[in-house]
Amino acid sequence: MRLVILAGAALSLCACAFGDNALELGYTDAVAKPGVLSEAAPTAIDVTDVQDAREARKPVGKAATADPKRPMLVGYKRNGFGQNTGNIVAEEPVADIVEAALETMLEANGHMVAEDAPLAMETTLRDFWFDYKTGLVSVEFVADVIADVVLRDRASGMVLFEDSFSGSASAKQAGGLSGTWERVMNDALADMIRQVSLSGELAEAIEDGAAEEPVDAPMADTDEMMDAPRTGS
Amino acid sequence: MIAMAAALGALASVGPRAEDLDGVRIDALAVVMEDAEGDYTVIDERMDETGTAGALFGLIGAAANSAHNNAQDASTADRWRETAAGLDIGAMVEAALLATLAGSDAVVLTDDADAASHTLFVNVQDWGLGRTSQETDDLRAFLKINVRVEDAKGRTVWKDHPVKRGRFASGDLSRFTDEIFVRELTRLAEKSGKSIAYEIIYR
Repeated sequence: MRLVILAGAALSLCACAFGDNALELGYTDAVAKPGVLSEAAPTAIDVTDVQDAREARKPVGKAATADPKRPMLVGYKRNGFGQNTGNIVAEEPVADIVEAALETMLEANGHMVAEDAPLAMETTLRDFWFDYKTGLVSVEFVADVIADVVLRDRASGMVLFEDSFSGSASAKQAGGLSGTWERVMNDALADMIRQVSLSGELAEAIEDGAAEEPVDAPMADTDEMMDAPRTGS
Repeated sequence: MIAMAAALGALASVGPRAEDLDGVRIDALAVVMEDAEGDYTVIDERMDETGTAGALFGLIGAAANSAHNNAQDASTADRWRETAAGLDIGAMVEAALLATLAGSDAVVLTDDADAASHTLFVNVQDWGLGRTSQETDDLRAFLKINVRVEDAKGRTVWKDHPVKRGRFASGDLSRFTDEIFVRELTRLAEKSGKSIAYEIIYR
């Protein structure tokens, strides 16, 4: 009898977990506030197209064969047994969301965003993912955004700055649906962008770049980092 | 699970949430490291934990499954335990934090807690290596810190629980040499200290 009840409960719960959920993700002027980057003299910077280098995670369900949503995929809905049953997606490619967020952040720090700027901010997105973990009485929602940011002097091609930034957010609640997912994912994005705006080394690189005096990139072990295998990609 | 989550969604959050320091006037700030050690850990098997064991075998099943995953992660953590013991994460966070605060005109530091208008409490919570989700096999160094600022009356005016993740990522544990382990966590500690300071300076 107990097994029948459990199976019924599992079936009913699984049914609610199918289908896709689209989240409205982004970083707005209302969230942006000046950080260390505002200490650098106002400078024109081009935020180039963000490269989405996240691990390949294929959508499940109907979207799985065409794979059109991968650039928008940010998480999976999962049943109680850990099986992926639906996709959690952004309304636009996450690379575009991060690019727009960086532009908003730079402008909030007094800089100008211009395509023909002598300095280019090149970003590689390593992670942009929402997940949740169920406990016996609560669910912990977690989101992470990780991106490598490079500031390059266009004329010389020299890297003026390079670092990796991470943003995280979590909420441990009795439960929550897309509104909670959206908030947690947006908080993680805002956290990552805030970390960029609080980088003293990046502020110095912008200053030095504006003065055409490149500085040494702080990541001396870049090649080794890039060699790290990324499973599934 | 989703249905259960929806049904319970109206209940209050039990997790910490960042509050905004906007507009908080800080005349003199004392910094207290409440927990400088934290817990060194590896989060790998535990990331895959689901409610399956609990659903099928009840509380005892869930507890047994959880204990098994904990033991596996503890065994993995043993690889770097000795190296981790030599890392003074809290001291590195504190040094970067104080140096950044001291280098700014925005905040006056004081050693005298009674003279402080506000006190920043820092707790190193967890640090080590962990996966960011169930969908990846890659581990990264991570450092989680709990911070809060209290006013002179002991009221919390800001709290946050920043998590920093390292750049080096690999699902192959052998690639996390002692050198990389130390380098990544040292970098995270310094970044965290600076970041906490900047949150206060640029509030």
